[in-house]
Amino acid sequence: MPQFHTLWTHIELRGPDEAGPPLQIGSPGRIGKPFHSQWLGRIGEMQVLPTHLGPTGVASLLCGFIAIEIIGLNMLASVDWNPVRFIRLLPFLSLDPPPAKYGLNPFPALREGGWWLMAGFFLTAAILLWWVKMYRRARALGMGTHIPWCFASAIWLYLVLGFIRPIAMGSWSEAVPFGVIPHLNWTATFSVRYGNIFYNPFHMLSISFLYGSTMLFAMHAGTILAVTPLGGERETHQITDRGTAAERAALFWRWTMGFNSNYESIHRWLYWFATLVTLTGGIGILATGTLVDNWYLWGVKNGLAPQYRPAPDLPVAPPAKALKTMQDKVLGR
Amino acid sequence: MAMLSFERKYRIAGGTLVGGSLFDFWVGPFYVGFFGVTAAFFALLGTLLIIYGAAIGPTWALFQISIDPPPVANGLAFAPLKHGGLWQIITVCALGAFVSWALRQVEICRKLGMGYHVPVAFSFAILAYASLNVVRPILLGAWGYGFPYGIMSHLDWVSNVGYQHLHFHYNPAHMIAVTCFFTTTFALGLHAGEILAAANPGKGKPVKYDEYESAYFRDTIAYSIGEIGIHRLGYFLALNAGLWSAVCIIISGPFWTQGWPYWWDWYLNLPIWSTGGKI
Amino acid sequence: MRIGPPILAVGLVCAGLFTLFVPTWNLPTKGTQTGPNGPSLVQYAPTGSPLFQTRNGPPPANPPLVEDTRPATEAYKNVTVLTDLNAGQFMQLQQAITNWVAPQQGCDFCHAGGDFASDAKPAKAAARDMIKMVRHLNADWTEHVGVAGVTCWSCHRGQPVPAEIWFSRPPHPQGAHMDKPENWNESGDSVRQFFPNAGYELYLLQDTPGLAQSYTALPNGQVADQVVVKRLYEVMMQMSAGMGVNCTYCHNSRAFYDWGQSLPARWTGYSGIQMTRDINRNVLLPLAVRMPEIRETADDPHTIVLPARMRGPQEGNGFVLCATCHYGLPKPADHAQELLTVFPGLKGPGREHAASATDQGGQP
Repeated sequence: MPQFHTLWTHIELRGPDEAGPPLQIGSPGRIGKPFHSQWLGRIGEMQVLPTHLGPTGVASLLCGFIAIEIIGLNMLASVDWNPVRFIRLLPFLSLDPPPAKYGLNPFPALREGGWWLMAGFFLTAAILLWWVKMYRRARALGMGTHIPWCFASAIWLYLVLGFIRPIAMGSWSEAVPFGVIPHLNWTATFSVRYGNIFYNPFHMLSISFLYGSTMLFAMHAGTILAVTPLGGERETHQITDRGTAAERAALFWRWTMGFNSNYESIHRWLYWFATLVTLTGGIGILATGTLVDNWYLWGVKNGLAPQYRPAPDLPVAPPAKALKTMQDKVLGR
Repeated sequence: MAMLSFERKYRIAGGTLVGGSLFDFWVGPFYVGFFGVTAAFFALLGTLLIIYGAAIGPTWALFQISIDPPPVANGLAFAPLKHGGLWQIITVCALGAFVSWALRQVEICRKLGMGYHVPVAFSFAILAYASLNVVRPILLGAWGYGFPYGIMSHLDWVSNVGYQHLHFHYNPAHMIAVTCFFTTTFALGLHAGEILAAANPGKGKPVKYDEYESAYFRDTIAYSIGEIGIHRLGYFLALNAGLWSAVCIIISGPFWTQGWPYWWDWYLNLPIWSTGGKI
Repeated sequence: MRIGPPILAVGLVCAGLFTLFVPTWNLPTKGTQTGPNGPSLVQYAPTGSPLFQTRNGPPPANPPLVEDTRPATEAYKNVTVLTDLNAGQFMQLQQAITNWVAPQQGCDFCHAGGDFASDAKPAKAAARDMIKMVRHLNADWTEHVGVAGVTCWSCHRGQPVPAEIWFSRPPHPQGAHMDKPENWNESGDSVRQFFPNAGYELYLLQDTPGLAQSYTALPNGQVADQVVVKRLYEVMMQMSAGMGVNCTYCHNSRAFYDWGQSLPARWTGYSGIQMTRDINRNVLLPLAVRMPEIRETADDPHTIVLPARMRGPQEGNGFVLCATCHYGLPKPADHAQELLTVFPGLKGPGREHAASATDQGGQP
């Protein structure tokens, strides 16, 4: 017998396509013929499309395409255009920023980071144009612009990593390379070079908000799913016209931890946690190398670092005499 | 009375798992229940033991306080109180408090006629904690492999465990977990922003409902997952973040003792690569 | 019958089987604590890579010592390095070296057919350099080799060229306008061999300061930029892989630079890096100049000069790194201490003594 399940949709109802609210006069029309996916319908809505690209959307996709082409073709060139090597080495392939000798020179040799700068330019253009599109669609539909501002926080981190911090440090070479493994290597080296990023207080905040976001989403989504049999997933309706689902959801947390938010305020908590992940993260990255060179020592200065009982035969420092003897031997003196 | 205007009609007896009606009452806004009593007991004992540990330790500086596990040489035995015994009792208290809390959530769900989604989600977090400080130490044969209870000392622990595998970002389960954390936060920002944007459209404009919410995401990213769908997706992503975090630490040590980059040897040696001739 | 769930189930089972059986997992091994309690300073028992394990067998049986107390310089012609041995010891060591280094090629690897006094083969001069180097290491590098010492077997393990070496390599050929790739060793069977060795050149050959972290909290402009630090990371990874240990064998990772928090093994490791640099700069670099000649005069250049894995695109010169002698173990399984009691001729004298002796003897 068909039943209601909270975690997946048992019976998929297929009604007329939603065309979306009417567009403003003069706006380009929505494109794409709607289609339905049974797989998507298992967890969410079945309908895909129509969408509204508009001039900024088209320009953004174009810039994004150019950026990916530059990155991909450079990677393909670096394996001598061999497709098997390309796929095998794809995780390791990299498009690197210009070496330190170029400083902030905007026109380094193409093979030495020129392509990286160009890819970065087009990727940034694509992202910023997409932001404009997100903003304009929110306005056009008569809604708040909360999503674009949250998105702006993520763009802040992106710009700090690839643009603002390199400028502050005076060299493009400080930026992150494009590539799967290369960006992980960059991350690990960054932590080692600047003396343990765990001691960076903004990194601590960012991680707390990241874990906090995940915890809050589990709490929120769990609560909502637990009251979906009562219509609890219709959140804006519950905000304007509270029903028993909202009351029970509130009481669940009130009885559990003595405090509850409501259907609207929980989304303010969620919104700020998500936004602050990249906001604080960006500050932490920007301060690294510009204001602080060794975060561990910064932590020691500020009384953060715990003292451990030393191991019995821990060396204090290498014997100076032995060091000199060694150097002499190596340098053939 | 610390009660919301609509609260009285929901405060009904019953739904407890154990103890019948013995602890079936509220204290202020808090529901008590049998598991409320056990949770309070474990939480209070654990906290007091941490404070005691700090008192006999070298410092009261909040960031430096650390309750260390016993040395590795102690194996899985009970340790003297001042050399890891405290850590062992605090771990028991933590697990006792977490599990009590989850079961208390179950009782509250039953009272309110809700699904058990929240306690189930919380149990994934408990699983991650237990993986770190119970399962992995048992697999490795010493409580000394657990993380110390301290703000900075647990970060030092994370750092060292990472570098025991040379470069932890290459851990495949860690890759999945981090991806889930970031994706969860990404979806969270979109969802929370969307609800706030619909409910706060600006002065003089009408509040928007699901038709506009769906239209916004279709207009921008071609697909709107829908009101119930976003909560299913968020629930799935958040739980997977916890689950894969647990997996990534369970395999680090008990099943892989070398550098994580070297785990990927199989990838370089897949037979398919030879199709293009010897590289 | 809907096909979705069965497909999903089969997919999951396949993914599970793949994850279980394709990568080579290690089962739990005992670990030991290397430092203070709390922050998990732990070293797992080294499992080593299967790449190395085949090399860690016992050395060949020692050749018999035939009593002959005449000085080697009298009994044999043209002896310039092992001048302090008697003829019996000399011959025993010569035979042992053949077993250790060129068991298949035999005496002809270095000596020109039949005439043992002849210096016709350039490989003979290389062998003399190598013997001098072993004596120098045992006499002058006790910081690293300790009382155990090293022998030819420590690195060669029955092969004319040790299995684990690295090459200085010319830049990868590249298109004029496209980005250049890393110099990966794509023919490697393991990620251990795959990583680029640009860092080895910086730190194991050239004179790059190994300063990765600042000694002050605030910027002071002392430390190299991050790209160079990445190279140092790669060098440290080869060190760990070569010895089968992890970072916390030597460092407390919260402050890598800090000797006060490092573990005792770091001093041995540091001296090992310096010793490696000494070998690469002062022994192998001069040898590299003569290498083309050695290859040309060898009977079968490829089998003699390069292990199978390294044949082909390698061009530059071979140098040593930690794995060359350690073969995946923190303490090499080279039986050097036992061997040196049998072959005292390898113990010394050191470089300084040997140099002055040569000067006095007037030998060119």
